[in-house]
Amino acid sequence: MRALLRADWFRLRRRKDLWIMVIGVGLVAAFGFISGYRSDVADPPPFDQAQFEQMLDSGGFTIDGVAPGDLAQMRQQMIDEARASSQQQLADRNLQQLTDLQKYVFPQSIATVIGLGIVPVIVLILMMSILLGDEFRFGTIRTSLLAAGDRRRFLATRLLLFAILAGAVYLGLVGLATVLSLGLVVTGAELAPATIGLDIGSTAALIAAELGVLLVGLVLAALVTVVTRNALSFLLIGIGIGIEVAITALPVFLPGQPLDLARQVFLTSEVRLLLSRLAAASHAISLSSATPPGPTDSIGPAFEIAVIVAWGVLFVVLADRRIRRMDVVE
Amino acid sequence: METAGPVIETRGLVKRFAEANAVDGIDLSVPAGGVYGFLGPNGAGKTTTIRILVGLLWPSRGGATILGEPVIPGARVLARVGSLIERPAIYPYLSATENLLVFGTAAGIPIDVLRPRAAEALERVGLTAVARRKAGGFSTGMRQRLALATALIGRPELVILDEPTNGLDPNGVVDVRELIASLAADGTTVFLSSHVLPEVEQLCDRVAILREGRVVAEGPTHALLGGGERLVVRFDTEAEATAALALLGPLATTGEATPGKPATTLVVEQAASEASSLNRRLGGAGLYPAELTTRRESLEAVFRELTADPETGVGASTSAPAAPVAPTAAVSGSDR
Repeated sequence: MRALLRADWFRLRRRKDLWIMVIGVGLVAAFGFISGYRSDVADPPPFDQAQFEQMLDSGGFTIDGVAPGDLAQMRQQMIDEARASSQQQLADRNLQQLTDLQKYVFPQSIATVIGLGIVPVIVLILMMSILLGDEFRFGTIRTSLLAAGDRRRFLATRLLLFAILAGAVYLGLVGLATVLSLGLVVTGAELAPATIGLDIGSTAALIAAELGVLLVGLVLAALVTVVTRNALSFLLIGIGIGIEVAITALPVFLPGQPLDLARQVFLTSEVRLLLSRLAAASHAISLSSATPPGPTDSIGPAFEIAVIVAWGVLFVVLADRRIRRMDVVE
Repeated sequence: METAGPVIETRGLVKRFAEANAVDGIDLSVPAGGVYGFLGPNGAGKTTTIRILVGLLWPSRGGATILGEPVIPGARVLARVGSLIERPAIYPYLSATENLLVFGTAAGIPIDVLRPRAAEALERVGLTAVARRKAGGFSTGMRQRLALATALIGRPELVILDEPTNGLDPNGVVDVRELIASLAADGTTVFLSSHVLPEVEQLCDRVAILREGRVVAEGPTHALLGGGERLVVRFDTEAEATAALALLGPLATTGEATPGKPATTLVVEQAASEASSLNRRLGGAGLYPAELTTRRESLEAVFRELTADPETGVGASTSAPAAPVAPTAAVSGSDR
């Protein structure tokens, strides 16, 4: 197994196209972090009375039947209201900034960089599809299977390699979050004092859940690739997820409807519920829009985990069976 | 490395695809050492058989053993087999050396052993000069050579080669033939599937000929060809030839004559070993040949005869038929 892992790692190391994708995960995360900070730190422009007056006058500020003295009074009133509104906006904004800018302070920055982990999931599933699909395209599936001996080891090695890679990517993102928040501190960027503490346990559970979902996705990618013998299996997975999401959004699957319970065996719906639950529990400011599922939405977190694990096990069993039973005609 | 039993053995091997049997009950027994030729026209089932032998396909029925162990996909014994099957299986984004390192590492060869071995394998197939170049830029012939090197990197006891000279230039063909001969000389058993019949005739100690998924002939190459030996007797005069024809009866036929010239040549259905007795018999009747030579069937003629469509005759030799070879039965004689 170690020999196969070494060989796989050697192969992966030479795939510059795939490494560009991994680097892309970091770049997208860093770009999102920096552009988010720039947006959050920017104050709205101060009230410009001259500009406001010019705007009023350019339209010819006259009202039929109103005396000029009253008109001037109304004009001044409008200016005062606009100034007050702008000042209120600024005050609201400053208050909001006290919260928003905490997203960029360690350890909140970890949740800000990783988020719900959608980019790493997409990229690593794509990498798995390409790397495995290319074995069929190049015909090297023959030599790879022969070298592996037991075909089960061939698949297990690939999954182990990608599990390690996924762990490394997440660690890298944690490191990136640390570096970026330190960078803000070092450069004297405006930050808000931490008043909302990140729940480290829930955040760790959230990252672990994201990794778990990623592993299930990787096994699914492996399964679809060995069935289709094609790197484009990634597209099929995307279409499949889209169809599942659309199905679970049908009215019959809504809480209280006839197929309410059936909805809770769908993979995507349980992933969404579990991640929302953990995101809300983490007190991550960047994930504050996540609402924990209510009692009518979900049976419970243990059930969500059980469903996700069950799907993962099913994918493993099917992929293993497929790789062991298939005829290699490439 | 000699083993007591056959290196490859199949019993009633069947592989069914959709509606047809690609392999239809093949029984083979490949002895250890030497080069074993595996012949057949396109679609005869050669590659399918080879894929079963290296564990890439599951047989529909029957089974095979390699080096005495049963072969199924994933069998441990396959680690002792090197193979090159149809198009070369190489990673285009790796250099020639890196390809060998990947295959060798996966096979569990320690890196300190692997590096010199990879260099040696590349030298053996004539790719040392391009060892650091990406294989994606290689010509068909270079890819074939690299695939051959990957088959040899694990120092296998058995090498299975499917059309190894495909895409090679004449020099490459000669190099690969020499390589196969040297492997056999080193004690490695080579199972060679090829369309190049002179190559098989030159290299192989034994051959099996396939038609429509079945073995139609199997045995030592010289026995297969020896069965087709004939004696050609030329006389000075047509009268002597006519008298000899009458004397020999059904054994002899009139040979091809040059138009406008008398028919003075007879073809006698006897092997070279019968030449002296034939000469004595003719001499006893006062007939003295001007020339007595041996005509040997080429493997190509034997192949065409055995693989001809029984209904249309397409593919049949236009020359005299080869000596009969019992279907699926071994030709008598020893190859070593």
